[in-house]
Amino acid sequence: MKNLSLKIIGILTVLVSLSACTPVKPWERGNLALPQMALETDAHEAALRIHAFHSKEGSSGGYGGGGGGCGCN
Amino acid sequence: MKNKWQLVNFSFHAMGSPCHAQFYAPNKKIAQRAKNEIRRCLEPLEQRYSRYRDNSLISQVNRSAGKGKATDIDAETAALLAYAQQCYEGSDGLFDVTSGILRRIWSLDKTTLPTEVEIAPLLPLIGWDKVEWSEKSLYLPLAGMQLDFGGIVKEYAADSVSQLLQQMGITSGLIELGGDIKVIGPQPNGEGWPVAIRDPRAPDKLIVQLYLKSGALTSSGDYERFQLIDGVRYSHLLNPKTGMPVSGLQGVSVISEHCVIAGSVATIAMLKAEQGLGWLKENEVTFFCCTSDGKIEKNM
Amino acid sequence: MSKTLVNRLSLAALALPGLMQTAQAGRAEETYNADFQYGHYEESGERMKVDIYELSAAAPIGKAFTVSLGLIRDTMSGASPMFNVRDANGQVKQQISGASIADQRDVVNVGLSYAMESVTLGLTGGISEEDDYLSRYFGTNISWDLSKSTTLSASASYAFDDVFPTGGTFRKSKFNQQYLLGVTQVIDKNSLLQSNMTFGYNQGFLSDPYKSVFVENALGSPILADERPDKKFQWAWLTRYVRHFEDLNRAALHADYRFYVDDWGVVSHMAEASWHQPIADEWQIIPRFRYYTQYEADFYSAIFDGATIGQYHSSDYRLAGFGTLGGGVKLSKNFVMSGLVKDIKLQAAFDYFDRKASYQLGGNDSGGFDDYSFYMITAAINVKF
Repeated sequence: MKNLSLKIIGILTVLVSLSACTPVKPWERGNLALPQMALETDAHEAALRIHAFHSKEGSSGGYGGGGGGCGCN
Repeated sequence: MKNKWQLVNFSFHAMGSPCHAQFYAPNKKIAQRAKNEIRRCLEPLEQRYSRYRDNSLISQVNRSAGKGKATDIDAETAALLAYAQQCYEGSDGLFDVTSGILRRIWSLDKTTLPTEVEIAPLLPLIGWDKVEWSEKSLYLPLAGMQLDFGGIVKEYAADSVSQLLQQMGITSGLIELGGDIKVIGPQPNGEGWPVAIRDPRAPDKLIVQLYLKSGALTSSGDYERFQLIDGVRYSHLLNPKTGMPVSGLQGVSVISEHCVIAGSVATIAMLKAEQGLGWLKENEVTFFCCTSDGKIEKNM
Repeated sequence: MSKTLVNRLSLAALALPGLMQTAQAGRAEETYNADFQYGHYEESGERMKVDIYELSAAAPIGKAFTVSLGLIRDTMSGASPMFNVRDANGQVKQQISGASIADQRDVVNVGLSYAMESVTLGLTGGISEEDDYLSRYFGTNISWDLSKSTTLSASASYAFDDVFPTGGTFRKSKFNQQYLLGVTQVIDKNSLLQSNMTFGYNQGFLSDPYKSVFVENALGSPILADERPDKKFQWAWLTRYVRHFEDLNRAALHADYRFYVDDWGVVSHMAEASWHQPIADEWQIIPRFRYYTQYEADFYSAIFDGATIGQYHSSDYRLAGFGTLGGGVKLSKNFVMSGLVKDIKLQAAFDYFDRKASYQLGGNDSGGFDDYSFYMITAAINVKF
């Protein structure tokens, strides 16, 4: 893929500069604790969907939790 | 099982006030441990936040005001500062933990109101928005500024003791620190604990007897403490923006889940003077209030 | 305006150490959990159909341990593409297996996690068994709260798989490893970001024993077995963003992007977005959308030519160039209770996707011979004690 390295550097710069983020005061953390704010709101459904996509596509990874292989066709 | 539990009554002195704990404990050993734990919980709070102790954290911070070096603070202090911030914002700046220095010019034995000349040098040293704080440090930028957690710590202590006893397995009882009450849990028969609010017009009479199964009750105790000047009742609370003692409501009692909240809400209502009653109603607070003309208003 | 003040004070009050409930950092499970999930996957054109039944439970042990157990049963049926041929008009089309395959997959997995003040350690493992496939896997993961707003995570997973196709005479194995490094960062009180990189390495028998390729102008047999390298190195980078919208009834936006590349020549992009909208009284509606695009593997071809066919060759539609576009909606309802059962959550979702060669980013003129669509339904109940 052309310009791949440029894209990666661009994204890394954004991530690094995010470390200068607004500090969250203790009383403000309420919003982040809401159930709809969890990174994974439904682990079981997510695992099912990821497995479905993975068995029909040529890619996998990114989510962690290796899990078992299968002989899916 | 529960009916074997003994009722324990424990009176003691802490935070500059008479205190009382009443709870059901399964046996003498736990009762004694509970008493010890109560003291072990309150002592450090007094140590850190009492302005009467020279080496308390608060006194250290106050002494370092304007000297250029911030004081390191722990998570509990940061959380108290965050709570003070919410009180400041929710009261439009009237609840201000930096307003303690006004005590110098007003106390309940004065016979005249503070003058412009007395107030003027103090006002620039007041203002929560001037305080520089973060989760790790605290600094008062002007020499002479002072922090006073008096309006928060006693109520917080009541909540802390209640939580502590609950964690020990005590599920029935209440704790009172200088008039601020926090219920640990209902009586063993499921009924609430009897608590009373005095009639400000006749201090020996009880105006309201309530049965609290849970939650906290505090009063901004001006039923008894006030100063009469030219026929107007002034409380010991001071307005941080004008420097003058507030007058408006004779007294406010608030019921809320936590003592620290009940206490702040009652204090803010008093600070809002004539607007206090409307403010309590607007915020759907459970309250009992006596206005300046002696009328009793409530939402209970 | 009413109640807001008390809510804000309450939130601040609950952050006070004296009022906090015991055990914070890293401790996800303080309750016992039991879940049942049903899923149905179905492709167009009488191809594959799968029903999935999953039962799982998790329990806290002591102050720091959580143990979990999961059981899954998949039953699948339907036909599957074997290879591609040219029809009378010279157009490529798929040759689907005649008989309907029926297969069942059983999975057992267990997990254990240990939460300390700012570090959580986890161990997982399991077995997945089919008539023609056996997988034994285990993994370990660690997550470390560097500060109140930054968490690092790392994991290592291993799978030992055996392939013994029905009707075949062999039993071959493969060994997969995957390593993950990730960071989760709180950006402000309303948003957070997670970024994970995974490195995977597979070795052993990686070909598909049920697939073949068709060779035109072949010197020998025109149908050869699917033949892939015995090693594959994969790299994926997933970034997930969550943002809170207080004014929209506390809705949340989730947006994910993943880039993938491997040494078989497959490159893919995946973008997903979902909107979590709370509506009256503990209901949530969650519309979602997914776009996936893939560039074909180096040794993929719909049909091969005898003159140019290499050592590795596959016509597997999953290694072709294509795009998948689709989405759906999920509905969930929470019942908060008091007593032994603390919470019951019911969820149901429907998604529909189109997989088309022409949806590939940049276009693809290979024709729609291997295009299909599929839909998924899930329904689940979760109980907290």
